[in-house]
Amino acid sequence: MQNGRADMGLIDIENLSVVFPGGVRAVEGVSLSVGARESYGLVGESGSGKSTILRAICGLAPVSSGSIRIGGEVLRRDRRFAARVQMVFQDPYASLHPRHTLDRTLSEPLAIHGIGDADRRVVQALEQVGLPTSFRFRYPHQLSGGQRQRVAIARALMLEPEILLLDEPTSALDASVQAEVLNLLARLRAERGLTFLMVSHDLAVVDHMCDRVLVMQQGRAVEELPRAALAAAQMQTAYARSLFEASADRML
Amino acid sequence: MTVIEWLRDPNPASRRQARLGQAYLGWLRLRRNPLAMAGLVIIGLLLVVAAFAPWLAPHDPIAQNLQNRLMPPGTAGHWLGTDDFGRDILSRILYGARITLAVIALVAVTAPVLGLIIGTVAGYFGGWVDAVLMRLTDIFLAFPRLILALALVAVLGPGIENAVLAIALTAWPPYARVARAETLTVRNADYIAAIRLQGASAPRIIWGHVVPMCLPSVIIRVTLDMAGVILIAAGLGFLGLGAQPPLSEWGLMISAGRKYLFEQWWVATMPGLAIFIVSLGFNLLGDGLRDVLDPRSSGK
Repeated sequence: MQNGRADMGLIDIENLSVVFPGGVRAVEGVSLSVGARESYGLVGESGSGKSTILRAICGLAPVSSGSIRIGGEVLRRDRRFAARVQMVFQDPYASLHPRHTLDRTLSEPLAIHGIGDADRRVVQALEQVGLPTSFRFRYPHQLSGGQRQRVAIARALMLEPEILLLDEPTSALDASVQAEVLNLLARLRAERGLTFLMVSHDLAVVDHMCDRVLVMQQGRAVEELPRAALAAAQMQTAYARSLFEASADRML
Repeated sequence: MTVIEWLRDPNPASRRQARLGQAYLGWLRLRRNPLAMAGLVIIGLLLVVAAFAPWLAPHDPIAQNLQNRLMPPGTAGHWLGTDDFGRDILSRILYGARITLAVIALVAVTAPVLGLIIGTVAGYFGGWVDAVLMRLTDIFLAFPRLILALALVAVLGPGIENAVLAIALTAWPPYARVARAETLTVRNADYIAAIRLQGASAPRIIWGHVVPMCLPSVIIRVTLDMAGVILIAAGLGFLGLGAQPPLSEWGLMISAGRKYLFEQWWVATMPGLAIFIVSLGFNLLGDGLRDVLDPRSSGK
């Protein structure tokens, strides 16, 4: 696992600021760099701007200054971008179209990008995320939360992206289902050599999944920690320490 | 495995089986609703009557017989009576079903589609697109529908085709409003953000992802409005701007019966009853369709 410097990452974010219309400053001057095949975590309490960074990468939040580069290129959100970067949303109850069958949801990205062989690929995608292929023509409302999140992960992987943005992918799920989904993500990352940029408010999840962690507070970066430092509780700042202590009991 | 089992298979093997299975479940849901079934039977009867009018009608609808004029209902050979030219009212109503059905079919495929497109485009893009399209909608809504249709027919010239065109052009604004309101609730949903992230074009998102969410409310509006469409077509006919005599259109027949309303009530009442029954049929069906069109209510 390379611990890349700021100038050679797969995802390079420099001095990113996001100001929403109305003057809410969600993110202020955050820089981070994620190396290829690395798993990078963003932690912080609600409203710390961690999800906004993911949404800014996807073009769902307005970038007011700073730059975002993927593989050294300044971002252009076209189909090529879609094939490189995909996102898994927080709430699996809201991220699947309620009137589309799983088959439609999973084959839609293939249709957009003109990729053939949809039948085989959809079945394969369901198997990959551990869903029975007989679910193929079900609607989201016929699935549980964990199953839905598996479908959302399968959808994000349909275009075989190299980067997966994970916006609290397990926070809407039960504790037992959480572990299943996290294990699935870890397995897929190992199999496919994916790069993760993962947002969570839960240090236990981040500790399980990430090589490096950036602690955020009120839109600013507080401290970056490699996993070893996280595990050894070697935080430099008081805020990171307090965040760690709040969830320490669950990490053991 | 019987056909029913094949349709009810919870784990369909192909797209076609899944789609047919959904349709079958929809039919089962519709069948459980007696009022909707009543509506469906009425619409079905209208279709049959329109298709087989020449065989069902006892007389030629435009053959005049001045010796038999204004015969009351129950007269032998003229069970619903005759009008002021001695034409058989039953035959005229049966033939009139064809015109009514043509008007409904044409309006139903034009106005909601136009309204749906305008409303979803306005709601999805927002900004100046929304402002322009919605002010246009406001302008159309600000006119009473019948008056606007009248103005259009006056410009285009009377006739059934122009009446349909005028009705379609005046009927779309409510659909646009409904579609826009629905679009605003779904445009920021995660599943729309997800498909946008997959690189889908705006037309694809609007047609494939936003429209299915707006469709149920628009379809229900359509079936509820069908009664109004029949009445406006009848109104235009009544004012002499829709179907032209001697064509047997229901509104025109009421108009012709107006002169005899007090002495020979059946001339205006019989086509009025026909309009009433068909309107009722559409209203009942519209209510039942809402349940059928929502896949979330399936499987119970």
